[in-house]
Amino acid sequence: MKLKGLGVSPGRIQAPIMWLRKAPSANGRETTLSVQDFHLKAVQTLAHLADTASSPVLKEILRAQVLMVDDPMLWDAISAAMASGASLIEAVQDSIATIAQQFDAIDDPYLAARADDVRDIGKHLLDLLTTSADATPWPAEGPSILVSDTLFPSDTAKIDLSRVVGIVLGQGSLTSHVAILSRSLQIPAVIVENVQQWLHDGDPVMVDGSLGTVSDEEMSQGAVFIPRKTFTVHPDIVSTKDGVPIRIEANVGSVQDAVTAHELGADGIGLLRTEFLFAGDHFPSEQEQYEVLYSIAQAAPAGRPIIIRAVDIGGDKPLPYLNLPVEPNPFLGTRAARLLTQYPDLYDAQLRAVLRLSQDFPVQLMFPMIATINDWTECQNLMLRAQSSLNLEHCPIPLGIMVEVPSVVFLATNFARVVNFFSIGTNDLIQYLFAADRSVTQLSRYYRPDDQAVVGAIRMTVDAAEKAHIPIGMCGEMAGDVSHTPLLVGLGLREFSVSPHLVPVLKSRVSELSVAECEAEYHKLILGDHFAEQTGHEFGRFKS
Amino acid sequence: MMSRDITLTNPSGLHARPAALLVALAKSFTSNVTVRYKEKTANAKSILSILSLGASQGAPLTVMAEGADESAAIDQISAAFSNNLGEI
Repeated sequence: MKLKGLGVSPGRIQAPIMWLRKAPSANGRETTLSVQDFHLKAVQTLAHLADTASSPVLKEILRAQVLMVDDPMLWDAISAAMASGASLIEAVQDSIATIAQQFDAIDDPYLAARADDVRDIGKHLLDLLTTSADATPWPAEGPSILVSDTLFPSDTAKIDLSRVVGIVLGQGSLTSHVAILSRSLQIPAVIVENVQQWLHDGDPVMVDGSLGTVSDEEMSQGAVFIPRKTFTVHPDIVSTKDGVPIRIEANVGSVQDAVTAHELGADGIGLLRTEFLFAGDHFPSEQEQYEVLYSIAQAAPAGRPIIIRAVDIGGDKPLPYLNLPVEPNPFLGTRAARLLTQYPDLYDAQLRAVLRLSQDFPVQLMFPMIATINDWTECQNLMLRAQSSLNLEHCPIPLGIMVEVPSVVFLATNFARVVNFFSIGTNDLIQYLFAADRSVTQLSRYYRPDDQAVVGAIRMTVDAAEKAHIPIGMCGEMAGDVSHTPLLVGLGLREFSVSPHLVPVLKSRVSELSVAECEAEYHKLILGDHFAEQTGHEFGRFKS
Repeated sequence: MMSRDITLTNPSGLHARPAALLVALAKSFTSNVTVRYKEKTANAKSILSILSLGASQGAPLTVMAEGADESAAIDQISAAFSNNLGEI
C-alpha cells in the first residue's frame, strides 16, 4: 500500500496508526449548560490553546480566533436565536452561518477568506457542545501517527501532542490551521484521500511529509519511529558551503500561500499563478485582478521580487464565459497566448493590472506556453499597447518567458537576446520532451527529471542565459525535489521556486552543498561513473 | 456622544491585525465605541463587526463614542488610526 497525497509538513516518520476518535454526542448536554457558561468555556479552551502554542505564528492565529469566539456580535446573535425558540446548537449553527455569509459577500478577498475562520470557530463551538468532555479522543500510549478526516484547533486542545509524531488527514490544505500547527511543531503531515479504506489502528506506516506519501512498503527494520528532522526557517538568502548564494523562492496561488511563503523565509515569489483569478463565473475585470494581486503582493515577503505568470487557460479546463475549443490533445492545444487569435484582448486587463501593481511592488511578468519567437513578439506588442493605455513610455518591469516547450530550448540563444529572463517549467518541459501526458498514471515512468534529455535541455537553456547575461530560474516539481538539487546547482542554476512549505527544506539542503561537488555530480551524470573514478571524487553522498 | 471623521491610512485597511488592535483599544474604555463606514456601522469592540465593514486603505470613517470616558476614547482611538493601527 502506498498512498500519494499532499505533503503539508516535511519530514519522514515511521510509527503505528492511531485514529482520532470523535466522541459520541452527550445527550441532553446542551440543556445543562447555560449560554454564559458555554461562552466562558469556549473562550477559555481556545485561549489555553493560544497560550500553549509553540509557534508565534500559530499563537497569533489562535489569538485572533479567541477574539472572534468572545465576540459580542456572535453571542448577541446566539442569544437572539435562542430567545425565538432555537436550541443552543441550532442557535450556534445559524449564527455562524449568517456571519460567515456576511464575510463571503465582502469584495476584499483577504477579508472574504475570514469566513473560513468564522466556520472554524463554529466547529469549535459545536464540538464543545456535542462531545463529552471526559472521553479521550486520542488514547495513544506511545509515539503514534494521528489519522483523521479533519483536525481542528479545538481537537488538538484535547490531545497529548507530545505523542503525535506524524499526521495523516483526509481533508485540508497547506494553509489550514492544522498544516500551520504541524509545521510549527515540525511534525510530518500528509493529506491523502481514502484514509478510511487503507489506514487502520495499530498498523505501522511510513509518513513522508516532503513527498506527500503514506506507505507500508518501505519500513525500516525494527525501528518504532525515526526521530523527525527539523528544518530551521532562514529568512535570508542562503549560500552553499563554498559561498555561492542560492535564491529559494516560492510558488503561490493565493494570499494564504504568500503568507506561508513569508512565514517560511522565501526569498521572493518565483511563480505567482493567476489561473485561479479566472475560475469564477465571469471574466475577471482589471480592477478585480488588481485587487487580488495586490493582496497577494502585500502578504508576500516584503521588498523581494514577485514573478507573475500571465494566465495559462484553455485546453483541459472549460470556462463558462469563454467559448473554448474542445480538442483531442488539450496539452498540445489552444492554450494561453494561443487563444489570442480568438480572443485578442485576453491579456489586456491582466497586463494593465500588473503594470499598475508595479508602482507599489517589485513585480516581473512572464508568459507561459511560448513556442516561437513570433509568440513572444505578439505578447510584447500586447504589453506595448497596455503601456501606452496607461501613458507609460517604457515598460517598467522585466518581461520573461517560461521555458517549457522544447522548441524554446533549441531557440534559447535567440530568445535570450529578446527577453529579460527565463524560468524553466519542468512539469511541462518533461512531458513535452518525452511526449507523455503527465495526467496519465500508466505513463509515469516517462516522468524522468534526471534523464540526460532533460539535463541536456536545461544545460542548453542555462548556457544561453549565461551568455546573454539574463537571469534564469526554475519552478516546477523538479526544483522542489531535494534529491535533484546537487545536479541542478551543478548545471548552473542559482534560483529555484518551490511550494512554500519546501522553502526551509531546500534552504537547508543548499547550505549542505558545495558548488564544486555539485559540478562533479553533473559531470558524473553526463560522462558516467568512469569519469568519477578517474577524478577520484566521492559522489555517493549525493544520493542520500 | 462624540464623533470624529478620519481617513483609514494603513496599507492593508481594516484587516485582522490592525482590527485586533482597534478592538483591544476600544475594549479598554467603558463607553460604547462605533465605527461608521458608508452605510454600515460596526461595534468597535467586536472584531467580527469591524472586519465585516470591509474597509480598505483610504476609506473615510467616522468614529463615535458615548459614555463616561468618551472624550479619552475618541482621542486615543483617533491617534491609533493616525499611527496606522500599528502598521508601518
